[in-house]
Amino acid sequence: MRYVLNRLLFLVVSIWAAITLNFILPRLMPGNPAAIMMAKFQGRMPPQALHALEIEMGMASDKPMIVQYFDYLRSMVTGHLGLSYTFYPTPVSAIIRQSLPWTIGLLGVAWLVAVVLGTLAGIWIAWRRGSKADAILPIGTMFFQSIPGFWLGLILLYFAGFLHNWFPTAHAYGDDVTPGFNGRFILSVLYHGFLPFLVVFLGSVSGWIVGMRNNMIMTLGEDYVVFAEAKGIPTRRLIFAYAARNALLPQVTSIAIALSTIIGGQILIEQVFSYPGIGYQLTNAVTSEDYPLIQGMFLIIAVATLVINFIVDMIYGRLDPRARRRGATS
Amino acid sequence: MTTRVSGFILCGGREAGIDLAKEVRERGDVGRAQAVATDKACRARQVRGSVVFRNSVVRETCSRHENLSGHEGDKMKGDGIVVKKMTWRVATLASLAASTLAAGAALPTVASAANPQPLVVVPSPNGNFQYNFNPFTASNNGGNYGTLGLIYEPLFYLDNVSGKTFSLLGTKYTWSNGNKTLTVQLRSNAKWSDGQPFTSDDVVFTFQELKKYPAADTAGIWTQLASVTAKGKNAVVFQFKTANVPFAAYVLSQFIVPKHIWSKLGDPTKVTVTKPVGTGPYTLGSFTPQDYKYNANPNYWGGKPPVPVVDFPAYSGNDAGNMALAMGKVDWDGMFIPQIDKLFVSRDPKHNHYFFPPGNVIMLYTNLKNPLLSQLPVRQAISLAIDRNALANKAEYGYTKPASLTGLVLPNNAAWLDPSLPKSKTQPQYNPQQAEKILQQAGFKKNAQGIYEKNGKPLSFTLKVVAGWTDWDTCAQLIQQDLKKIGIQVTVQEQQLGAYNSDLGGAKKNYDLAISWTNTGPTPYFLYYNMLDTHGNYNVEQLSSKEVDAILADFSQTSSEAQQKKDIYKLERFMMDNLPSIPLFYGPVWFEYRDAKYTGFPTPQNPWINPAPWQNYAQAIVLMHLKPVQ
Amino acid sequence: MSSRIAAKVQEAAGPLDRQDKVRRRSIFSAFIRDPKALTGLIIFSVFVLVGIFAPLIAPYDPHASTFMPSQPPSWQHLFGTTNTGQDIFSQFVWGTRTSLSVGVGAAVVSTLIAFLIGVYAGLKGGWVDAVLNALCNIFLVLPGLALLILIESYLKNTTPVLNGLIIALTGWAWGARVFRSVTLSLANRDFVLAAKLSGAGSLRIMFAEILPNMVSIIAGNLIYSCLGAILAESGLAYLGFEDVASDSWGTILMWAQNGAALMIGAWWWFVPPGLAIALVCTSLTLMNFAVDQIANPRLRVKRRARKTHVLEGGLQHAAQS
Repeated sequence: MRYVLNRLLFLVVSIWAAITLNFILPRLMPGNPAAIMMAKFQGRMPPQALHALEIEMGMASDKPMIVQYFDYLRSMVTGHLGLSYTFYPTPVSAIIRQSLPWTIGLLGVAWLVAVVLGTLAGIWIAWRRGSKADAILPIGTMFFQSIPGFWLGLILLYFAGFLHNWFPTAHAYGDDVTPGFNGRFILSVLYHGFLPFLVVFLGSVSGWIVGMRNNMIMTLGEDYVVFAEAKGIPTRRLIFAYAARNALLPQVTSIAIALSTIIGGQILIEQVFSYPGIGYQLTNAVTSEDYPLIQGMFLIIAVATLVINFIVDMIYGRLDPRARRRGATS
Repeated sequence: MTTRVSGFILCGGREAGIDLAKEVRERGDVGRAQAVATDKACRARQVRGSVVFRNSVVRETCSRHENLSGHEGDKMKGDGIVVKKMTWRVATLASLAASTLAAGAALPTVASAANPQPLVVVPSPNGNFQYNFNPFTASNNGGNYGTLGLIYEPLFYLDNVSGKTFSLLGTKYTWSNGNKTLTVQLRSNAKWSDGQPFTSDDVVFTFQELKKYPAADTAGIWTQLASVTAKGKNAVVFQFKTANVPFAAYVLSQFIVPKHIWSKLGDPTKVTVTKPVGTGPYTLGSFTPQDYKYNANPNYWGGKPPVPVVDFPAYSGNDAGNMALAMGKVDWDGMFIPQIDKLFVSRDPKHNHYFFPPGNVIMLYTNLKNPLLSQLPVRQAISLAIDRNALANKAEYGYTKPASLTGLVLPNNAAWLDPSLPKSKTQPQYNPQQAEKILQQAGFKKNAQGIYEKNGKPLSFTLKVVAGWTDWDTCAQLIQQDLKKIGIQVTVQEQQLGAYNSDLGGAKKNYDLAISWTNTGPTPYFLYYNMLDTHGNYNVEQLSSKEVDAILADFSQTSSEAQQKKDIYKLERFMMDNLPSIPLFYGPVWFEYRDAKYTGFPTPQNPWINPAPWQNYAQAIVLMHLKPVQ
Repeated sequence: MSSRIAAKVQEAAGPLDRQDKVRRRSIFSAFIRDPKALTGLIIFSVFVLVGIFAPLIAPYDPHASTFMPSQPPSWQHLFGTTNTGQDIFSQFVWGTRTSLSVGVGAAVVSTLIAFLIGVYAGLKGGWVDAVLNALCNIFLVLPGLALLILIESYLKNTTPVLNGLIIALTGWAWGARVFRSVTLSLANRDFVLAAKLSGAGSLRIMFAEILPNMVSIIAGNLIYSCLGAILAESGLAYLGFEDVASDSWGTILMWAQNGAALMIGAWWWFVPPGLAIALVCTSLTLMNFAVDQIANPRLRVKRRARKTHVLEGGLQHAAQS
């Protein structure tokens, strides 16, 4: 219980930190975003609109900073992320609701496949250490991880989309299908998602392979494994029940940390494939200087990462009793 | 009755020129505010490589004023000429003002079953679409394309390219009471897409909404209007506070919403509209954040639209949009494309076409408050040192031409060009040797770093451009290199749009050199007024010349075209002799199309209407003139 | 990745406890002897040399648009020219200098921050540790590129140097976490305690006592941060958030994409910078791989295992069954 509370506290503190960062950054940066917005309106908005904008952006200048800060905290906590400038008067939260499923879908699938395949491959090459596969797989996948995702994405887009027309060049599903739970739509989503999936997958699988390989090798050297081996436990059982099970633990903690990296990479990949997720909205918001949307997108990405991190911590706690006892020190 | 329309053009020619001029001066920034309204919409959509937006500024200002053009008006005295100048299809619509056509019988119609292919339109780069077809939002911000035009219609559409007036919900209008009362006859056969009839009540209601909710009145209509009343079911009377003929342009092009729906909705700017009901040729078909479609409105007063489905997909940036266009997935496009002949035309020369009419003048503004830039020889040297052909060919891919030193947009303003000016003088020269000579004659000497200086002040300037408008960013770099060659040091500063706007457009200008646009209008007066008048809306260089102000005032007060021309001639000479800022090249309007499915798009030979798919109302008129390929 | 922490903690706590200076010296030779590391080192060195001697190698001014635009590769222009007539090879060479400087610079700065925070937290313990650790965890889970984009949206078109700095300031957490763990295990060793008792200040202990005992971990962190920084910088520049007049690989890619390089078939404009990034990052990965193996002897047992390790038996067992 203490462990859960501890992690919960950390979750709350980090979300608070993300919100605070969102509050501080516009104030640290040169230029007042509200004034910049006003400049864009070039006199079309009445002077009182500046005030409205500042309130909307949580920076009413007549209030002391601390009051502004708590106003901002309150509106964030109650889910009032403001209204998008680009799509005025659409609330930022509505735009997030629209794009979040795509990001989670693409990311989730690519991530899951990478974790499962990567971990299995890691187990395999750790067992077959010194084999050709052990020599090629980590290095080969690492090469893909070293390629900038957007660059690989663009090459694939050009080659498999533009040049050969094997895959669509934009969007999450075809313009001729009706979104909903129907076969054509699902097929279309899979078809459209394949290239972005491939890029996210190739960019992240290496970490799992190498991580699992190293964990396995460490575990295979543990006395209890050696002992089990000596006792003549069948290989399959030895690998999965004895070694892999324990080698998996550190992988679980990596999941959350890797997530923030993957999300980052995915922003670019969504942009490349015009995939209608959060990253695509974020980059568009930046180019159109839609500050409420930028802040909202950042916040949702941060909160999502933190929440997943929390869930992973919970799972980890269940898997490893030591973690529960150690509490929040790690 | 067509004469009424032409009459409008006539008034709009002379008086309108004056009145609108005064108007712009008095009210300051209506035109600009309009420009900004659209500009924001466009910018919102605009991603890297975005020449798109700058033209939107132009297009908006143009659309507001150009149709009032004097010379255009004169050319079109009488409907006969109008008709002769146009193709039959154009004629059918342009003379819709004629009541004989009010029934819409002459509009081309084709059974959709014969050719069910949707027309795919990409006006500009776009992120995910938002499910909101609120016309009040559309005029403010980034509402979805087609809301204005395909669904909601105004009384008239005043085109900025052809200068023609197209009749939509209004059939004719008359001035009375010393040009203070405007009576508009309404189309009697128009229906809302929910079946209710369109009446004068709807018009009055729409204008009352603008009065009640000033946030919706982006054109500032109620600053000039005193009252709006219905005169029977099919006529509306607008009472102006003072005679202001050109201002009618704003009133006539106000879109109309159905009273029976909007009267229940409250503040129209805060409404989310997912089932728009309009009078236009289309109704909303389907919507997803990455694609929406309009279906032909079979009961459209103008007849059944020839294109059954119009499809608007979202492409995040120029890259994705260009790729789709190159692959033949887009039929009508308003985006910038690099190397268009190679990338687009050559892939299907039979069907892939483009046409980039000039929109405005792109200037290198020189801050006249800068003690060095305020010296004419320095500006002359800069102008001579810039290789404008290289700018046009390298940065703009040869899509445009160096601008005339007179400040006119040619050939649009050709009728205003002083015939006594030799072409060799109006065309900019590239002559770095001469530039250095001018500097030396003015007493500048090269310092140790190879930079010209006088009294210890080196010719070293910053050059501001908008970050991400890559063609201008390239221009800035080219200019930097050109000026370095003649011993002028330039530091390029790319700014985000907000900061750039406040540095150039704000009360306190903070720049040395900057690349920026001009706000054009139906006559060259607007460009000159905005740029050169002491109180001009876009007087970026901060010229304050009694001589210029007097010429502009004279122009605004005279109805004699001869006198107006004389004034413009004077301004042309002033521009050339004093070079208050440096014209670079014309800003093009992007328009690409594929005629594999439908033909009938405007062409350079027949630019009968603004061809850009982002041009509200014009796009619907173009759609009604397309013909399916059999 | 946590496995790496564990491995490093073990390594630092284990053999180094014996103050094995000889072993420390052998780290470099072990590094050189590893074929992966050597390959990585050679590739990386080539790029570093290109960066250092950029002014000598680049045939033209990278900004001069004085050539025929849109030319394919030729002897005059190894990588062709841009649509404005700039020599892409010259841009590439100068870009090498910029991108590597940003990568290495960001790596050094972030490793320094990570070292200071991580080691200080580990040494001090108590509430200092708790606060620093929480801070570290927050930075660790906040999505890096999203944070960078958020910052860039306010700064816009920053110089590569500033970008590198921002990347460093947002990317130190991982290293700090590793350093802290290692420090925790070192903090109660005799030599640290002795230094403490002799009245040495925190900074002295950190740099004189702790630092020499985590050289390989620091090296690993440097390599890892450099890789991340190069990738992040290229992404930011590609999105157009970097000064478009700068010469970095990402900026070249941005311009190439802007000029629709791939679609018009100008692969020579688009491919070299991306491939260079991939090569540099691969070389870093290879080196990191080797550092990992040096830091963690068990991962290195590959060859010895063939003879003695239980795993060999396992393999035989597997083969028999």
